[in-house]
Amino acid sequence: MLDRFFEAVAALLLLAITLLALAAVIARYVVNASLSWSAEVLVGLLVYVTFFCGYLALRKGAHLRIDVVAACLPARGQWILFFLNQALIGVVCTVMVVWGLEQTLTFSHRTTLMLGAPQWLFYIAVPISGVGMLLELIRQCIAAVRAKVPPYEASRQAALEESI
Amino acid sequence: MILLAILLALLILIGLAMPIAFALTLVSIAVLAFSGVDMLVLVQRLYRGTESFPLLAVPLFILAGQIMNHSGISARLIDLARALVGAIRGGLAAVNILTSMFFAGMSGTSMSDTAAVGGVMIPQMIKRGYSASFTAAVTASSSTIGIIIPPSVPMVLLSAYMGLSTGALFAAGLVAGALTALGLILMAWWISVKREYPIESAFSLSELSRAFVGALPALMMPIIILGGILGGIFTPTEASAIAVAYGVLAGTLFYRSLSLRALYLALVESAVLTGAVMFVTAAAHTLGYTFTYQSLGELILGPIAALDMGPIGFLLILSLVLILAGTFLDGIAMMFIVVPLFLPSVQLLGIDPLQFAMVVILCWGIGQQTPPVGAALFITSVISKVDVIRITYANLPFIAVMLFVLLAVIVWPEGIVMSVPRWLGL
Repeated sequence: MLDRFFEAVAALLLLAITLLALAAVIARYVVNASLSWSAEVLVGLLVYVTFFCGYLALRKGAHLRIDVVAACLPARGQWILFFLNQALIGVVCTVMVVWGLEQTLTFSHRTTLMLGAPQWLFYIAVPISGVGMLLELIRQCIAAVRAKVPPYEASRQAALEESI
Repeated sequence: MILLAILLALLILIGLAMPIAFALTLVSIAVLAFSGVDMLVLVQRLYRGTESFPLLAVPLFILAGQIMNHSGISARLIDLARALVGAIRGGLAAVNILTSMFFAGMSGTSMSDTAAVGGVMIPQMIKRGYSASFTAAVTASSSTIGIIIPPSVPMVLLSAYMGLSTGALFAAGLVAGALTALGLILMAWWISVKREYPIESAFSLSELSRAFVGALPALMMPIIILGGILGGIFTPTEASAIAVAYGVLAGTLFYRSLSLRALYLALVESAVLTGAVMFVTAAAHTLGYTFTYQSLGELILGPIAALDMGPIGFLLILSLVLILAGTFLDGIAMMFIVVPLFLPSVQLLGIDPLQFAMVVILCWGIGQQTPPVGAALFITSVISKVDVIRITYANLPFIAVMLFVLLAVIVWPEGIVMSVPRWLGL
């Protein structure tokens, strides 16, 4: 249920980018008017796509990674590596949350050039994504322990089946 | 010493299944924290890495490729390629390569190409008596054309990173891409003659015109995209939006095979893939900053200046490093780790950035073919049910073709890389 909701949000963000980019092209070539504000909104949407879909990619195990070596390890080694990696990814997410919030608060008074929209609206994508990823890392740990399957072997199989 | 430590840490982290984006950021965090840099600077770099207008072409070209995949146009492109080259010895191998070339003009990645063309061509070729390893090798090597012929997502990423014109880099890839396709077809033909692989039906003009009409709506897409960008009518970002719109139009009006459900699926798949690619791009900016902060590019620059090797020697060494790195790393990681280290030397030696970028793109393609980490290899291995080592062995002649094209780009940039961009005034 939650997956479907997140997928719908991701699809909507990408659809918004597509439609606005198209509208800008049509305005420039057909109507001969420039949507000068569109570049700012498009880049803002790209920031959101990056950080929201970056979270979604973590949830779906779609981040680019090389697990050839990990999948060859014995089950025990896979488990240790899995928890170690989750913890290290957690460090990155914590930096995103703490200093992402600092960035949002420090530059909260700034506005964008064309629209005059508050910059924090865009900056806040970083800490939100960090919080989402931290929660996701915990969910993955719980799910892996419950499933009792060595995580890298399972994920590799799923990725290969999906790529065909 | 610090450079060695960084590279070793990256290799260990990425080798041990840490997602590449997080490995790049984690190493940057460690080095910058050790150097006393405020983490706010790192987060700003992470954010700035995504805040770029040219990068908007990344999600849109990915989406255009996914839409074409869901439209089932592969069959039409295969029909056209069969009518064009099916009559030569080993016709289906040539069809496989030519279809990849057509697909390359619509899709920005080689992965969708490998899966779409390989899924149809591999079973057909094996059924017609081609060896499974040869079939898989042809499919894997030809999918590389996907990132050499524009539109190409790696080219968008690289040009945005280097501050190059994406249109100029797209133009620079045209001759190298066509040369790669031609070289692969000649090599496949030569092997087919030796092994007496079959000829498909004789060449027929009426068959060719029928297949051409069927494939025309799909073929219009590269003409619109490339013609628009290279003719200076659209920017690459605008062209990517038009590509999506045209893909939807072709899938619904001409082929009537693109349902709303398929369109939604294409949007979701593209969004997830964009998240993965763009997150690495953002992370790469933190690593690029780390390299600059530690002046690591200078470390490479020193010995290169001292050796006085000239542009060709430098590009040969760069290629060797990129190919070796591409053997163990995914293309995107290879690019973002190696490029910032070698970029300062490019300026010193007076090498054209377009030539440097083309060397990187070709090495990325070669890296996709080599185990233990080769994306194209794994997909074809799963489809053909041949193990990766046997495919690699069968792939050696095709990798040799790519190395030849790489050498041509290094030795004769004026003809292979610069001719089209100069001709178009880009």
